[in-house]
Amino acid sequence: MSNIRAIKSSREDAIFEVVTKILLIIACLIILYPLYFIIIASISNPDYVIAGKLTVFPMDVTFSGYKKIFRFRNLLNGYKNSFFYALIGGFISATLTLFAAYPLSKKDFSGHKPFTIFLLITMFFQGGMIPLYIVVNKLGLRNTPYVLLIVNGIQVWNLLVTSSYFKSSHIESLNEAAEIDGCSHFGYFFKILLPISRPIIVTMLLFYAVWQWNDFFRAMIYLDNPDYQPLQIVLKELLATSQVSSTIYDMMEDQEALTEMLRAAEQMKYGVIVMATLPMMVVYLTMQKYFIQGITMGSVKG
Amino acid sequence: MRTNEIASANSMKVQKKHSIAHRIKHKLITRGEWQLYLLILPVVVYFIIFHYLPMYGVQIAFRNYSITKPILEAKWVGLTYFKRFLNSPMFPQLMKNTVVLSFYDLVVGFPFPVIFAVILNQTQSKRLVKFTQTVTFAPYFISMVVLVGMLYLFLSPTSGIVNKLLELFGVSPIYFMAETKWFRHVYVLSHVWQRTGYQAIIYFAALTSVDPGLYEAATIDGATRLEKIWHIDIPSIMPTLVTMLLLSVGRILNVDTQRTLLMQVATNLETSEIFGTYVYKVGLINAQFSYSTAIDLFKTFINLTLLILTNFISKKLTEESLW
Repeated sequence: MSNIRAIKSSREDAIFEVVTKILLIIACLIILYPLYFIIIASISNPDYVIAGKLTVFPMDVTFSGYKKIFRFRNLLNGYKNSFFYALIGGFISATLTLFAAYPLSKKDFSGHKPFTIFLLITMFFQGGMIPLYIVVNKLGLRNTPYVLLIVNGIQVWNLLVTSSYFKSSHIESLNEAAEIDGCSHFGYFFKILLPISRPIIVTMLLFYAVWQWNDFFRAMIYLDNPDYQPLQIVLKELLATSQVSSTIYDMMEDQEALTEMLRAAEQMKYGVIVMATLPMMVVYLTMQKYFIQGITMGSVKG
Repeated sequence: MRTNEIASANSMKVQKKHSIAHRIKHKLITRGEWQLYLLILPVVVYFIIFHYLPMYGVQIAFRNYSITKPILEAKWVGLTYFKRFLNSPMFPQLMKNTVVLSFYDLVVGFPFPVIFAVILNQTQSKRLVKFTQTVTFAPYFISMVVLVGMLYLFLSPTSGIVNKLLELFGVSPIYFMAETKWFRHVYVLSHVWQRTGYQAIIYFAALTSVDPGLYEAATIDGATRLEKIWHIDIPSIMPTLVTMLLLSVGRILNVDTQRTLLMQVATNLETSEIFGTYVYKVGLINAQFSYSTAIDLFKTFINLTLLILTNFISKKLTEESLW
């Protein structure tokens, strides 16, 4: 009897394996095809794209879309600003997060409980959009390049993830040894803890930098000055509309006819998407393990 | 090392005799706790300014505030703005749109990452699993602006690839991004596309930490794959699942304002106007600061109530709780 069951279950296993494999391949195609399509559409003759002829291979390859994009000052400026926000913002946020996470990870620290509660409250109750806007306004931060580095610059979730990393067992025992040897908190934190905490440092830098790069809403609220606008705001004007936006109109040379403009606009949109997303994809593919680590560390803490 | 321990034991005895002031001094100076306070200080100051000051500012919801005068000088009007909101025709519409969108997003969006993680975990080919994980996590790195831009391109009634495909089946072009009835579907499905891989990571991590001995024992007992999933996989991700569900329910009125704002056009307002977008417009576009804050506060209040309620129910039923 058990033999028959075993044979039955092994045949069932084989079918099951095929089914799961097919499902995973379908999932990959659903994600990859739109991304692939954008790439081939950005280098194909827009006539084929608009007519719906483009499917698997790029058609009548042309880089005229990218040439137009590189002439567009606002976009390049946005690019530059976003690099600044991601690098500097990422660095400041990660540094302060690491600093604060160490005291929070020490259970015998007299401020452990009060500070934890102090921070957790803000996860569930916020003043809201307008009261924060008033504070930022009163501090004179509106329309300055610093506002995006500061507002929402420290996230409670990241503090919790980092402090739970510092609490993990291999680090905890090191801390005990250092304390017995009479090492000061500063000495331990800067000379011992930080050098061995590379994974969490990289994870935090990446999380904050990616978030800075992709965020647009704070810039929409606090920045009017086009000089400081991040890339996402420029993209929003370009992409998040079904019409040809005035921004695209500005990008065209005057002599170009309306139909030609529509043609080129379509192709440029695809090119702009590629350009805006490429840096993040490169960061993701080279640093994948740090991102996964950061997400799973947070969930273990719960 | 010994002497150190004795010394610390002695100091503890002495410490008991000291007054509170002495004890604080001992902790701060002798044990060097001031260093810990110094490390956390920037973040604490930051939270006081950018989280607690706005909480104090919430009182403008009860005052007739204008930006030129200090908050405390503005006239106290009590619940006037709350009453105005609850009596306005916007209230039922916002409530309905927000809850329906959020609930739809939850019901459709919640099972996908769970099922996906289980399938990943059950697949033997480790290379395929790794590849699929890499691919499905990628959309998480696409910004919201770009994602919505992609939707406008793909779903365009004149040149979008989706409508071209539908044309082959004789369907006339659909205005996905403009029509009232399509907004929710597009919102939820694009959200699934973007977040499933990311959310599955947490469940997948919980599944990979399951003791392989459990599967072996189940195999010896002749359990089928589906039985293994039901009796081993599902129970092992249950705590994670409940936590995620609790958090989602507590955020039911916090549907993604930014995503909605980007997908909102004049013609789909009937379904796309939600709490967050309305708060933004009333507050920052029409500059009705007090009214906007009142609506925002009302939303926060409902969210908190829901969170506490669901947490309480979950505690009773499953012994899983957020705190």
